Amino acid sequence: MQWAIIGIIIFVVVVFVALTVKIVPQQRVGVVERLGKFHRLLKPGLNVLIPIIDQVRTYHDLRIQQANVPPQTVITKDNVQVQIDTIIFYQVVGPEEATYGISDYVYGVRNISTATMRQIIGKLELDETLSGREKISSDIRLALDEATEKWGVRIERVEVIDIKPPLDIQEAMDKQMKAERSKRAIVLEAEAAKQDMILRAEGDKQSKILKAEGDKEARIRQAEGLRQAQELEALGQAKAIQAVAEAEKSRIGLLSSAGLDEKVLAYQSFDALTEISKGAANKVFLPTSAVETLGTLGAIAEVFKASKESK
Amino acid sequence: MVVWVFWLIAAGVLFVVEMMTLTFYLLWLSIGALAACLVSLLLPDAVLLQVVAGSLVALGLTVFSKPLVARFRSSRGFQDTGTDIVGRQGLVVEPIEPGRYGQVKVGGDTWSATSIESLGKDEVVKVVGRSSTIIEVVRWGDMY
Repeated sequence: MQWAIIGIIIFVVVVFVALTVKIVPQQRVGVVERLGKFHRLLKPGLNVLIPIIDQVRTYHDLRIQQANVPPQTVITKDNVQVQIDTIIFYQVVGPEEATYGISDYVYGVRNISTATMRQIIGKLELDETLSGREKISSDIRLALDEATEKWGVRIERVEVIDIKPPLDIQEAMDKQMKAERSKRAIVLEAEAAKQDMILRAEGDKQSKILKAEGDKEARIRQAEGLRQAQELEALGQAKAIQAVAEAEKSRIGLLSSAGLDEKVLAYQSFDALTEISKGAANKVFLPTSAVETLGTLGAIAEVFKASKESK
Repeated sequence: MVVWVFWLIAAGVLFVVEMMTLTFYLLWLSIGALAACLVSLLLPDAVLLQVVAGSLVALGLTVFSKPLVARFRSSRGFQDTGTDIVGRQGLVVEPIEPGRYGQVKVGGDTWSATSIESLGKDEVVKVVGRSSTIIEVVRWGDMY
């Protein structure tokens, strides 16, 4: 009997103390209800509760948590079924709402993100879904924040891990990509050929023009040179003629002033004779009259001598 | 065997378990057992009295752990940068109009935000309040 009482006392005390002192680790929070109604939150550290009256309803983990959403089949605007694989990061930011606002927030978060994703993808065409992951994430966040406001759960981010179009569509996309690339290659090639031809023709044209121009200039210069030379020559000749004429004139003037008209003639004919004798023909026949003339020439020489002595 | 040895063993075991698990209430029970041990040294036969004495000590310590808690409260703890954002600066990513949610980027995180005034894209804002998932912002420099 005594031992039973001892046992009961020890049991009650152990339970009582265990219910009273609560240590809550960091980044966790407990929701305390006093007689069934929300009373306060248990903050990290040592907490003291009143047993029976106070009761910890639940603990929440305040760290960011991840929930994998199993691959979902979603239909896009252009009626293509794509498999979409997402991961959700969420965090409990309002422990009260997370306790009282929704029965199971993990389940809720999963469902609402899938539903929202379907709705958003349904508005997009296949090509947009593949390229616009950023936009999908942002749209999902906006829709989710409105929904989860009452849940005390903030959906940190929804990441689209993978978007898988059906196999035949994937093949078609591959084909399209290949065709597009080869088209680009062909266009580029043609463009290159065109440019090549144009450049060649242009070079040809330019070279021809340059050559012709060079020819023209050369000829003009040549002609100019010729003209100048001829002009100069004519000028020189004219001057020479003039000088000769002048000299002749002055010579004649001088001769006539010396009063040697007849004698000059005789002298000149003599000069002419010596000129003739220098000609190509070796034999020279002098007419007798000419010999006579030579005789007179001797006389003339004498005359000259005499005139010299008289001077 | 003498009774006080049991009490001492119980106290020791409780103390060791307490050190391993850090739950605190085992410490009070351990001290209670120690008190019972002392009583058993004086009155080895009155086992019930020993139990009552030990229980009273444990309960008393439990009740008085409240002021102890107040003293331990002052430790630094961990600040969650993600949720502790009131007063911080943010940048509007999606324009905010009264009655509709926009988006604001605060330190790498995007939050849905409301405001009493309409704010355009790329405006610098200050976070003035947070309900659970929606933050309230004003234009930076409007309110101090």
